Amino acid sequence: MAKLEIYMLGNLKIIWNGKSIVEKLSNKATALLCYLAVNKGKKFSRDKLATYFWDASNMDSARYNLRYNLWSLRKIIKQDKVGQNMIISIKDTCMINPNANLYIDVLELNEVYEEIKDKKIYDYKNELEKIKNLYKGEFLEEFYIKKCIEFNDWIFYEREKYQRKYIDILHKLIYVYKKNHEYVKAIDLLEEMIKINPLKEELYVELIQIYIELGDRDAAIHQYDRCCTTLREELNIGPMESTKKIYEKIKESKTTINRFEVFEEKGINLKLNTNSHIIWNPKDNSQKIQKQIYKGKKIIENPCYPLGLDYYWISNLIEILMMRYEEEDLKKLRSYYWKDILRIQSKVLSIDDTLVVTDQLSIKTEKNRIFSGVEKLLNILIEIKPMVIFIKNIHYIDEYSFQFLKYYLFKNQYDTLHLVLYGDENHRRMKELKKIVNFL
Amino acid sequence: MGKIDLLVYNGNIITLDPQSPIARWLAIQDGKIVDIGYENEYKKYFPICIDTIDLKGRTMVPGFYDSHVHLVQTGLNILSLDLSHVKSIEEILKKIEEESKITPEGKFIRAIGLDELKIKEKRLPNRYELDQCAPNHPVWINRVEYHTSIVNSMALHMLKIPYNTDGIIRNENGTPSGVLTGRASAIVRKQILNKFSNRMRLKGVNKVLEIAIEKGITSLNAMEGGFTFHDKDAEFVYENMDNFPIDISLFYQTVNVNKVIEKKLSRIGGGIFIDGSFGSRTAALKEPYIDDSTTNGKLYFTQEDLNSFILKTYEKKLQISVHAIGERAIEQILTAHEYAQKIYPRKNHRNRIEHFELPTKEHINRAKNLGLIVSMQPSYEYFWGHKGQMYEKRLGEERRVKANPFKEILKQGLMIAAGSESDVTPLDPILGIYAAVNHPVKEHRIRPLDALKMFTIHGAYAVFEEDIKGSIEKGKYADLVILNEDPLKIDSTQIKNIKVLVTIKEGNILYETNLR
Repeated sequence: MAKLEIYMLGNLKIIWNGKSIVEKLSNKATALLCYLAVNKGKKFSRDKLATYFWDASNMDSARYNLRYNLWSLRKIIKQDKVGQNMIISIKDTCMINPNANLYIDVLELNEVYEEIKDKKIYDYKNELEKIKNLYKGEFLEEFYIKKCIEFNDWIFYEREKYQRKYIDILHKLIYVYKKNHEYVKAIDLLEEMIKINPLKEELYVELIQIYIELGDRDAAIHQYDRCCTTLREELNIGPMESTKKIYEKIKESKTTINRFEVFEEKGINLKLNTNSHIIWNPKDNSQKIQKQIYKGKKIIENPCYPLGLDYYWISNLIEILMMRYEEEDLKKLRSYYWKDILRIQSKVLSIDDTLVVTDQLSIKTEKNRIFSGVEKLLNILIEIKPMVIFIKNIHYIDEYSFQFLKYYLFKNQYDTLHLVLYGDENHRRMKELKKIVNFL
Repeated sequence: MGKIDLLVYNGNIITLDPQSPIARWLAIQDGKIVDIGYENEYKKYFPICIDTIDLKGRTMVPGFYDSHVHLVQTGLNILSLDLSHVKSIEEILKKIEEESKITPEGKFIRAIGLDELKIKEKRLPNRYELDQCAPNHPVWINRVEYHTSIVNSMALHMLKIPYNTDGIIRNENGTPSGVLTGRASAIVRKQILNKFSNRMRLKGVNKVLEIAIEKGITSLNAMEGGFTFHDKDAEFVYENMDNFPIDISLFYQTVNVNKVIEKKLSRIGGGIFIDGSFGSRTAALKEPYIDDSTTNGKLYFTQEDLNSFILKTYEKKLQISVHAIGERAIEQILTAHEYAQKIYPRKNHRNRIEHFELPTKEHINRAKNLGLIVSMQPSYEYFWGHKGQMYEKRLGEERRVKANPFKEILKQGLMIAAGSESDVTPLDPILGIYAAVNHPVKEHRIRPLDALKMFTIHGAYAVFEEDIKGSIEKGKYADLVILNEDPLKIDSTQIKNIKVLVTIKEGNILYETNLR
């Protein structure tokens, strides 16, 4: 069935029967079609439309122009296959046929938006993401008609309306992502919002809080500095007192920073021998060949997935190691280390079912304990037999596991552990790891 | 010795070299002064010189420094439509309509200097009015203080405005009226200046440099980027620093210390605004303004924030300069330097305060003890300092007579480097020298020689260049200006009529008129 699709969010696209027809329409005909489409089902008097789009001081000419443009629209957008006219123009009125086969992005956005309005947003993540994806840009971006005051005002009005809805959706999505610990996604959205309004201090504050949550003190401080510089250079003001207080807290936290950060700072003095034992996107990326190269070594494959779950990768690694090593080897690790690893992998109980996690720790302390436990386990195992870990899609690694990798690389100097990393060369994480390795 | 590029003789050469303050001739080779003297020894160079200038007794001084210029904005403003003298909305619209006839369709028309209080209707034009006079052009008008923008529909359409921001003034139907203030104006301003090409910046800057050279300027300090300006301006100057016909020292107006360090710049600041200006009643005074008792101006930094920023610049050993006009702002910046110097004591930092218009004697003394330099604009006194002018209107008589106390500053041994703050006042060191010598308040007047030093050797000192420029000495660059009169001898009221006849930059004659 012939279908008319109109996409008004971002650069205008009008598709009839799968083919773009924007270039075939005059600006005024396009404007007329968009106006009627957004108001689908609403009848307009032809005189009103004529004065809306053309000079009202000459009504005859305005009416003629309207008639001509409606005709040219109908010429291109003919009846659909069941004989329905897209534009119904009877006597003195004109409207878009509400029963025609027609898709309009803004109407879909409105529909989904209304559907989830006032509902618990956690249950509607998919819908929120759908709206986010529908908004490809501002309403009728780049579309302007000279000397058409009312129509242009209508665009400004609609543009603001959809921009506000979009920002509302982004806020809600950020909330959901934070709640689900999908911090990277939340950061991406906040960056997008800063692009729209770089002077909104609250956005920087949210970023700072997320980085604190991730234990990335440097990134949090960087966001604070960025916020201060932007406000100073654009508005000549400083940040709010509440923002300064958050910064003060981050500064104070220097005395209690987690062990990873301590090692990162001391990293300068640690000379590691791991450089040649980390392979980036090997040219021959056939794992079979790579595995042959590492013949005689214990080969562990632990890919990453875009799940955003904290400790996901380490947890999987523990599970694999438990499957691949003998129980007596695994038991060489002291039980108090296993107790800490139990926090992220319940299968540890298969080694010692008497273990129980009793103490409530701060996020940082817990992280330090887990990192330390996994580090000791790896070091025991690589003493038994050199190990190679293949990590596919390293750019998808969850933040905590990524921090563990950095922590391990900084702290350990064994050449019995090789890493073969596959992933997006341009990704922040890949670059960061390379930086660390080159640094060492 | 090889060929002499230029021999200048029979002159009254004011060298500003304390050892030999007056010379009669000098010889230039490879851009530098290779010989200088008082007697007739120069004749030995005739057989080996390429070019000669017989000064016939005229005066030569070192090339001028202008220590505070907003170079790119002056250039862009030259290319903009000036609305500072319009009397009605009708006149504004007519001027824009005329401008639209000579501007390619779709290109921004930028107008500046509009003050609605000076026009008949006492209001700003709206979007619809601007649509009518320039339907095919985006129009952007800057109010006189640059913090309010007025745009037409086409401009509004081209910009990406976050509608949830403050400062969007609206029509009755809820749509933007075209007038944008505060945050909205800042966002729009940034977006529009971003659209301006570097080619346009170059066009404007070239015009400014032509004027500068005609006025005898061979070195200037460009205050670029940051609040009310645009970082693209600073980047443009940074990228082209070596391509300009005269020397430009860039002051990057940012609080981002790392940014200037990454660029390997040794200085930061310039127009970092601790307070505003007298004209807009935002300079931070101790007592309220005389014509508006509800305000005594604004401090844009807390003491804590300023201390922290200044401390960072000391830590990184950068030369820092900030804008401070009113007593409260001067107090604040002095306190910040005192704080920083306690932690990082440093000599010869040559940190500066720009403007320093209303200091107390105590402020001057503290600035001296801190080893600061003040960068001042004597022409302010020419335009605003007389009875009935802006200083009196805003500050009242009691404070008018305290403004820009050059003599007291020099008496206490604090160094002044002088500039124009172009385009707040014109690029014109001769006018600056005149204004300092003829200060409307007699006790603040200084000797012409001291005024000349402010625009030459002290300007050089203020950017660590006194060893190579700023005076006429053997081994220094041949940056020179020939004048039709001697500013040290002419009746002081006539100084402003002195004409620059020749400007020489590193031995090259960049400008010459009515000399040979």
